Amino acid sequence: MKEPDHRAASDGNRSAAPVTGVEGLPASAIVERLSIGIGNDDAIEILSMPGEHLEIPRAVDAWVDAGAGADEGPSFWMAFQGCRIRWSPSRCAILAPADRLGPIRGAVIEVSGHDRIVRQVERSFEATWPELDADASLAFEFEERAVRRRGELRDRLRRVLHLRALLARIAPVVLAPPIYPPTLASQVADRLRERLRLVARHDAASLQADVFRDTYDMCGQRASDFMLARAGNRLEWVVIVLLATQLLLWMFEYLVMAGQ
Amino acid sequence: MTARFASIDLLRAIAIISMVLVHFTENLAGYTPPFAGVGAPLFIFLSGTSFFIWSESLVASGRADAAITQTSVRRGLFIFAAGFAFNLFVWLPEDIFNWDVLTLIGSALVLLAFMRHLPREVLLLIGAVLLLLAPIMRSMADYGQYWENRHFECDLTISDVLIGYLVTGYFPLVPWLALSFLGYATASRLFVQGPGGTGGGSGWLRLAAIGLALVAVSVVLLAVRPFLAGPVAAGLLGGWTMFPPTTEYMVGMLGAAMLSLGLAHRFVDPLAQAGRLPRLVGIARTMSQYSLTIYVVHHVVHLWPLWVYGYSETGEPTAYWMRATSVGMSFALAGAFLLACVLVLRAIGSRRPFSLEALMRWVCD
Repeated sequence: MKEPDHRAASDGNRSAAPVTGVEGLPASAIVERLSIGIGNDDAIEILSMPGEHLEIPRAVDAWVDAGAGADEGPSFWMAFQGCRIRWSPSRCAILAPADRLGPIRGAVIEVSGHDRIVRQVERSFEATWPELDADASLAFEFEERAVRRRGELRDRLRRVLHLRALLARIAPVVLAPPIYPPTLASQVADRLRERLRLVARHDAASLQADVFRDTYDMCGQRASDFMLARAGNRLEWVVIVLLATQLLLWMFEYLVMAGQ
Repeated sequence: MTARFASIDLLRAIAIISMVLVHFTENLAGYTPPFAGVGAPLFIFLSGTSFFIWSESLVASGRADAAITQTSVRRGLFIFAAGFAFNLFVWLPEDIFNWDVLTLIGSALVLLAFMRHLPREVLLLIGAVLLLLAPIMRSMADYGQYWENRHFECDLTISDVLIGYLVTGYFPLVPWLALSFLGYATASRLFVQGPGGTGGGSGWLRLAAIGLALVAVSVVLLAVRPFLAGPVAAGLLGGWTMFPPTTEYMVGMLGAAMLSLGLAHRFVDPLAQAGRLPRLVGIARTMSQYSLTIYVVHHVVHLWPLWVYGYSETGEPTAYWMRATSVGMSFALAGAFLLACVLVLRAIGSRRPFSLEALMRWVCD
């Protein structure tokens, strides 16, 4: 199960100075690689292009699409109050007046971070449904044969709790109602969340996390009960073996006496 | 289908070869080779090991637990009955209750059928208790009274027969069951793959280390015995003898079995899986698959002619027992038997229609 870093992306951190320009775009267009707080390598590249843009340069599309991973889905355009945003999970282009670039960039980083978390949680769960199916029987009854799998189950519960905690941490922002009075940044963030269906995906991921957590929680409970019973059972067996030994010796002594 | 481990096949082949050589030389020439006492303990230890692998393969194939127990009990009873038939027809009727290795293995399988769900630690405890009880029970039974001229003799009374089965026979339950139980417990640790199991890891090293430690304990006990007080030296210990199976002997042979299994699992199984040593692995597998048959047939082959010739010449079947031929000739005959065995059994191949194992499967499975 993939495990995202626990640091939620609320603000995003600038991790580096502007990297490069982009071929085919004016020199004022700069690309920055900005951390979205998921992990050391988790960042988003943002192309900031100040000014009024009636026509969108094709180079912007090409640049955004070039960075998109195969499993990331299509990128999309979003226009809002004279600002244009071309977004994909790993690259985003912001075409806006210079004084609006900063707030929009902050909103994009925040939502991208949340999207990255939800996306990673979704992928983690998607990859581990077969494991859940295999482990589900242990939620009802634990057995001797499964004792050696306790470490594995413990790790899975820990990871599920970790993922559930990540979703919980971003919930106050993702599920919060629109703020009033709205700002440009808040509206961009709301629109972006809407386009990414972030609220619905967050709810669905939380639901899945509940299923995983419940299952492994029950597995843990059953395993714990089993191990406690097993320890007592062993002690009982030691007593039984000792009693049986005494009984055997007594019977054998009687047998020997009978033979004489 | 039961998973096969070349390590187990090889060790069982070594055990059966050792037993064939010892029995031929002892029964035909009255000579006890220095490696006598090695084969039987290894054979019994591996019976427990194989039982674990066999039962686990049935569990993996989805057989119901009760069905596995039933089949196990039937197999155990079959081998137990085969042991009696063996005593009756090979050692002749007066030795029917000599409690040979087959009756022991049959008993062990029946008990393991019910004890296989016990925690491993409990099996280890039972094994240790059996080893510790043996000298005490031998002392209670006055072991020496049942042995004349190094051979077990008992009256055909219920008490003597039961005492022979429990303590004083050739392979009594106490302490020999310990080897089978500990073989089972060892396999449950060594041949389990995945988390918690040590099948693919350093389990062999731990097993070999424990085996080596047990061998060392045995050597130390042998070394200090002359300096110990009489009751300990003569009662709890007793030197290196197979009849009776003294504490030093049992601990040493248990250690040797564990050590050899650990080493073979580490060094032989990977080679076999890689397709190396195909001839050696093939021969070992053949001898291992037919080990019960070989055990019975090698007795028949060299004892029946002996009985028939003795009876025809003197009227006493055992007249030439242990003095029929020279040591060299008995070794040569054993070698010829083993060679013929391998050739015949390999020619029969996997069809196995005429073997004790096939009969057991037909009756029990």
